[in-house]
Amino acid sequence: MLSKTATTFLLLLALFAISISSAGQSAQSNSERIRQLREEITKRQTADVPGDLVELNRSKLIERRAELRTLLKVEIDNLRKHRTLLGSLITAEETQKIDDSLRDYAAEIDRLATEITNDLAAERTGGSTSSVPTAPTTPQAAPSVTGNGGDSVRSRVGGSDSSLKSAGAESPAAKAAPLLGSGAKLDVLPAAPSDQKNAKATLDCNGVLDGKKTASELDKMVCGLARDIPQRRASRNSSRNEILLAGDVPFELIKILIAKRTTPKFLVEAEEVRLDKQVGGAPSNAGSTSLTVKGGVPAILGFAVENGGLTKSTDGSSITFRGNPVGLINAFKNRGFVTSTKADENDPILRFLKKTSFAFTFNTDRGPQPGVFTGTKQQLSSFSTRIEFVNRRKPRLYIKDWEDFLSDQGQHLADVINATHVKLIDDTDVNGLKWIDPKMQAWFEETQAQISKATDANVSAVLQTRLDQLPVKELLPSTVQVLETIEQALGLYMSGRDDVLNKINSGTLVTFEYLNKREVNAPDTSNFNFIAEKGTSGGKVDFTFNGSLTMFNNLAVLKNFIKLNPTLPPARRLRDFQFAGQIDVPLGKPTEFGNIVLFAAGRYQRLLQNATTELGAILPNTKGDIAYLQMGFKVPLKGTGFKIPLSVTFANRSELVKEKHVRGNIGFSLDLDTLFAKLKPF
Amino acid sequence: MQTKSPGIFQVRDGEVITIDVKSTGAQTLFGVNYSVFGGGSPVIEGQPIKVTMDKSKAQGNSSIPGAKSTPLTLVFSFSSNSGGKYDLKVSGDAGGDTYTDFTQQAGKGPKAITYIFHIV
Repeated sequence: MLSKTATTFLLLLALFAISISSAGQSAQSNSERIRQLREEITKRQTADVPGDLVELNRSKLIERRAELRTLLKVEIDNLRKHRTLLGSLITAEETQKIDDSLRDYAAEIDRLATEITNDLAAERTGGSTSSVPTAPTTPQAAPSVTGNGGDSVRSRVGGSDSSLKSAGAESPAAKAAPLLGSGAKLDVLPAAPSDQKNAKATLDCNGVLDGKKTASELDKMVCGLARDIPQRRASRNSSRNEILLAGDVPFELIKILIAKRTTPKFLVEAEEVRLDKQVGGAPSNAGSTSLTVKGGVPAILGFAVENGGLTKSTDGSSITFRGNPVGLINAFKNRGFVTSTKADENDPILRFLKKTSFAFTFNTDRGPQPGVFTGTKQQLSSFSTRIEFVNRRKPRLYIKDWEDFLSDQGQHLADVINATHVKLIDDTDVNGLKWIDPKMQAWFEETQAQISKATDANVSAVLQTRLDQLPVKELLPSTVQVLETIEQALGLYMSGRDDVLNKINSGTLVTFEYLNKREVNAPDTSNFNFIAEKGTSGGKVDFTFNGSLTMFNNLAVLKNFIKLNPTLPPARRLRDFQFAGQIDVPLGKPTEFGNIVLFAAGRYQRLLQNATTELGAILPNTKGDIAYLQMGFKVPLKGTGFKIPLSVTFANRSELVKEKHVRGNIGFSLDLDTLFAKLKPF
Repeated sequence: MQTKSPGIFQVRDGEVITIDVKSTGAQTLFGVNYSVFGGGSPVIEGQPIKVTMDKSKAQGNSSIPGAKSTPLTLVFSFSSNSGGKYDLKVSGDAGGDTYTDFTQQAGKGPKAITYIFHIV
């Protein structure tokens, strides 16, 4: 306690010295120092501070904020003096500018006070800086030191709380407090506004906009506003956060009002899922959990671990790496997902290479340490390459549909918003806009007041609390009428957009894949697979079709083997042919269950040669027809790129054993596109 | 063009306003519509919007003596699931301020910006 008190006392002394010295600075150096302090504070606030330096950083922030408050007060004094000096000579424009600056400075001083209070509270508890103001609910008198018109930080002498005085608003308690010394006075901080104290973020916006959480349109709009407010403050170099009634805020508020008033499906339901990517290995691999191969591949790299063995009667574990060479090179070059995508479109060679992909599958049961992935050549059980012939899922192929949508529903929405603007917002005053509906205006003013005092860190909490208090049920009938008109146009717009995007997502994909399967003792094989994929027009269901041939790579090896076993039929180059189909259907509402996909698949295989075991033995009388039926779920861990496929497979026989059987399969796959797009989108 | 407040401008009667919109975020089909004076159209990518500020068509009142005000609305569409962003620059052919702005995707729905022009 003693050491904390001493530290605080020294801090006060330092701040007092800063206050005194600041008062003597010229206006020019004052402005420059203010700029520097703002910069430093922003950097310190946003820096990813190592654990060991958190307390020190917080302490520096308190000092810098206190210094900035002092300098801002000096600026306020200077402005007032300037106004008095000019008297009647001052122009209306200058008066306006001075008033604006005084208002901005006062708001910034208040905001700094709140931030210092939070930091002091965090320092006291030893916790991280709170995102919600934690100032005491009632002002508490405590000794502090202040310069002439300068700043002050209340000390915690005797265990009392620390807080700050609001700019130009001295409380009666402060005035009545005993003096500490010449020129020093007792100073009291105002409590944080009650709404800010109670502000609580019910929604973790960090997980909403980047797709880590399943979220409704409403959630995303709320989080989008919370994200944009500090960003706009920074881009305008403004000292305080604002929720402006110009720009894109009014329409966001209108959409939120609509969502809260009538909960239309297009604003309150969550997004759905993409069904076309193949991440895992081919069905013939030891541990494969799927009967078909999908047409799409990850743009960078996919990774799958599977355990099962659908087509053999022996179990196996496989690890598959599947990726795109261009995507990987871009990733290694540290180029962003979007930047690289745009740049590659302009290069014909890269455009071609982007249609290709590769995969390597390792059988972890091979090698000197079965069950351990070593990545050696010995464990490499197959490699494959594929090229995309047809991809009708590229948005640029649907420009005409998109343009039609913009000309129709897009333009209708723009015209409706423009025409109804004057019915919602009074735009007469060049200095600011007002809601025509008094309830909305009152709500807006209070929200503005609270946002202007909010730190960047607690804008989201304050905004969410205020949005929960939107006067949805108290709106004027004329306002409701306008909202209904906009809702109708917005509904048509969303429906039109969905139609175009569903058309894109249901486009045809045709791919050819070559797979070289490396056996330990049996002859190696080559598989040539045509993969076709098509979605339904509604974009809800995805169909996949595979047709393939498998051939022996080296017939001589097989012939030699048969020579030693003359009872076996003569060897032929063609091993088998196969047809397979799969249907994927997203299940239920994503908000309730996550983006779970139900899939059902069937596969027919005609084995033209007797099957060969892992040890190289040919099993007689194993030629014939094999049919598989599979049903299962893919459970994605949203936003992570991870998926867990769970399935059960029924078969009339396997390649090696002519008996009916039922198998369960489980695996997990990771699509690095998802992670990469999040870590480095641009 | 003079910026009076964020998103509120004073322009001369007959001044041509240029709004240059660029898609700068996640790859998305370009989708921008504008509406002013009761009409508008989709915006072609790479071609800035040019609107002549005609005081006789403006319907709104203004705190500037003798001026009339009109809203200009831009609607931004996103084909991407997330990460879409548009950057804007608003300027007038009579010189003065250039106003920069942006709007970012938040969900699959559209964003809309309405600017107010006071025509003197």
